[in-house]
Amino acid sequence: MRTRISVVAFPIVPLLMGALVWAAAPAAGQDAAKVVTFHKDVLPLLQKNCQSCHRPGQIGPFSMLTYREVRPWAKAIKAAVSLRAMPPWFADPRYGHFDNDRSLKQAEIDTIVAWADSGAAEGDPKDTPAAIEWPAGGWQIQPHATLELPPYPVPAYGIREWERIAFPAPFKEDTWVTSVEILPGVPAVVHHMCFGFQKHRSTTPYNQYEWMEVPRDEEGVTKNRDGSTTGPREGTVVTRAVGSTEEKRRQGRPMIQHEGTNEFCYLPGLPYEDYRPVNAGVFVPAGSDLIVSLHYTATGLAVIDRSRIGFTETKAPPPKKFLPQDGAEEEDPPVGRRQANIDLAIPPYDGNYLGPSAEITFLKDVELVWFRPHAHVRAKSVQYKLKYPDGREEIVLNVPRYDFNWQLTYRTSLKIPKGSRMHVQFTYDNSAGNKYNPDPSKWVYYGGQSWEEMGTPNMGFLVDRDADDKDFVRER
Amino acid sequence: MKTLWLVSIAILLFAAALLAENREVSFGAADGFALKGTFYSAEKGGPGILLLHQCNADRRIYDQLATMLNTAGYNVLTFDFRGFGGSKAGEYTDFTAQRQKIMERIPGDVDSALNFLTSQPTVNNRALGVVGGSCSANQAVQASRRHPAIRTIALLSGGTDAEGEAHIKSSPKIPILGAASEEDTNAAAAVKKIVGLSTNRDSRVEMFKDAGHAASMFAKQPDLEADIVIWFRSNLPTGGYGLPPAIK
Repeated sequence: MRTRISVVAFPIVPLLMGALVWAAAPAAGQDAAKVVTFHKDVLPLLQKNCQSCHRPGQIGPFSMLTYREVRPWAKAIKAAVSLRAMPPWFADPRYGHFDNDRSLKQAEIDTIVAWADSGAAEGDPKDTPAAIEWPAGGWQIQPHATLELPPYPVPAYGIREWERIAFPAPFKEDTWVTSVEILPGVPAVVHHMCFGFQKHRSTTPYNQYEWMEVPRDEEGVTKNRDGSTTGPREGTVVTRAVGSTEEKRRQGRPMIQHEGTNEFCYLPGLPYEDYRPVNAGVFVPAGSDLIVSLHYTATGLAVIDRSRIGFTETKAPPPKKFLPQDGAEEEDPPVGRRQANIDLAIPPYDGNYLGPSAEITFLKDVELVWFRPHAHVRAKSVQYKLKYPDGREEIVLNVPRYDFNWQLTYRTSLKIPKGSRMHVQFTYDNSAGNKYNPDPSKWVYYGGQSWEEMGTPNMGFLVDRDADDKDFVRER
Repeated sequence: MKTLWLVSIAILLFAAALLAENREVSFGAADGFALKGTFYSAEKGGPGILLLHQCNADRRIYDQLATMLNTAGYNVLTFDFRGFGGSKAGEYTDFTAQRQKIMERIPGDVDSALNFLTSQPTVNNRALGVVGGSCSANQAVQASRRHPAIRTIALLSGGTDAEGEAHIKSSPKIPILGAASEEDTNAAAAVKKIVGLSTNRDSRVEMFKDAGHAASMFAKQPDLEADIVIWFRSNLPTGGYGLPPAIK
């Protein structure tokens, strides 16, 4: 029997509301001007910093839209903001400036603490700011076009390699995509979901998943340590039709090729990508495909993931175009590189392992607009240091406590002159003190699964719309 | 005024609990006895949490906590031990008079509840948590001895026996949240002891004053339920990379 009990006719509600109003009123002699209230002081902070995740259908464990929803959590909210555990933001405030910095200022923390400590008063509902009108359907952007990925059955157990699948892009004409949001159906099992656009090739199949078989040992660790996360470029190709469980194997190279790098990604904790604030977009010629890279992780519960991708678009070309720099998966990407951490080998029980650094050389003047360091459960910290041609060095992002559950994008605007180099350094904690470490007794190598490690210094750039985007950066 | 405040909040939370979608369930114990419970299904699947009630209450004492945990992404099962609430039937109708007989049956009933919980299609049977209050605190610890999938425990005003203590001491992967009220002397000491034995660095104690006993503390400490939910979110992740992959 499934029950949903309505409180529409709940007789105590009027009494309750009266009690709350009474309780929220300042006592005689108390300075009303100093009373911190929910509606006047706290709700604006929650709207600005918290509600994007703390509302129905989003990842927050409870909703923060109304006083009634928030009040039981007052002490927990106080603790979380006091410790700066929430909102999740990990950039060291001493370095860089980030447009999407959602950390609270000390005065804002003080307001929330004062509110919780003084009894978490509701205050006058007339002080309530206008509610934010969140897009329907669970979106954070309001998409102009959407694509529903086919249902993907994720088994309870086993290893899922990185897979690719191609779809026709949902645009009939040349289009500038200005923001993208990927909504995973079951976030718990989605390790990543990324895609890029590519002109359709006659050899690219639709409705088919394709991946390279990766030789692994009994612990699931890849035996193929060539720096590739998707397996060998030539070998056993496995395919599975959408809706089918039958896997077919053949020798050769994959049919679903992607020349460039992934332009958009979902990773745990990562919100949408939006280039509208910087007047930029990604050009998608008519007749393009989306080449989607899927990585699911079995967690012990068989589920069916139904993910969606939403796009905003503009027909008027924006002045800038966006270029990503991430892990190259093909041989000649326009903005590519070899993974820097191919030599990653973290010894057992090492609590402070210095990963192989990445050194990225900028071959042209460029505007860097985001950092998105990516690693797995043993990552401990990451630092980006820019070395200018004149010899100056500047730390442009420092993340002293890397949290793999929050794969954040740090948005900035950094003009980088030609000849500059970006030095990126990850550290790792393979000790028993790392609560997420599945096994500190193991050597850990580079690989695409979460029990393996990465250290990818992803960055995003803007260039003039008509600029040549070849030979942009070079990495050693 | 503070009292009225707390009462108001308690009433609000009670109303919120009534909004929850849940399912009345019945499952068989090893001897065939029908145990009554309430199952709160996580919309997108996820870990499972079993709430074990104290011996002076029944499963309804967890209605609000179960709802909050469910909203936070967990499958939750509450059930009445035999002789309590909806599980009063046959030869089990009076806990006070049948205490020993019922207590002997509880471990098996807890196992049946865990079997029921993990058999639900939305429950990840590799990621479980247990809350135990007062007399059932020991049951929660003993359950974790028998079920390695129990990854974290919350204990309200209760401890465990020597075997349970040895288990906790040798289980660095199991974080424990303990809560009690200072004037509830024995319970407070038991909670402090068991958490003190834990070698997990995330284990911690919350001590209150004049808060009452076990889940009855929720009435005077309305923040405690939120703390328990946050505890589970930190130590029994619902998603992200927090759940270890199931390779085999």
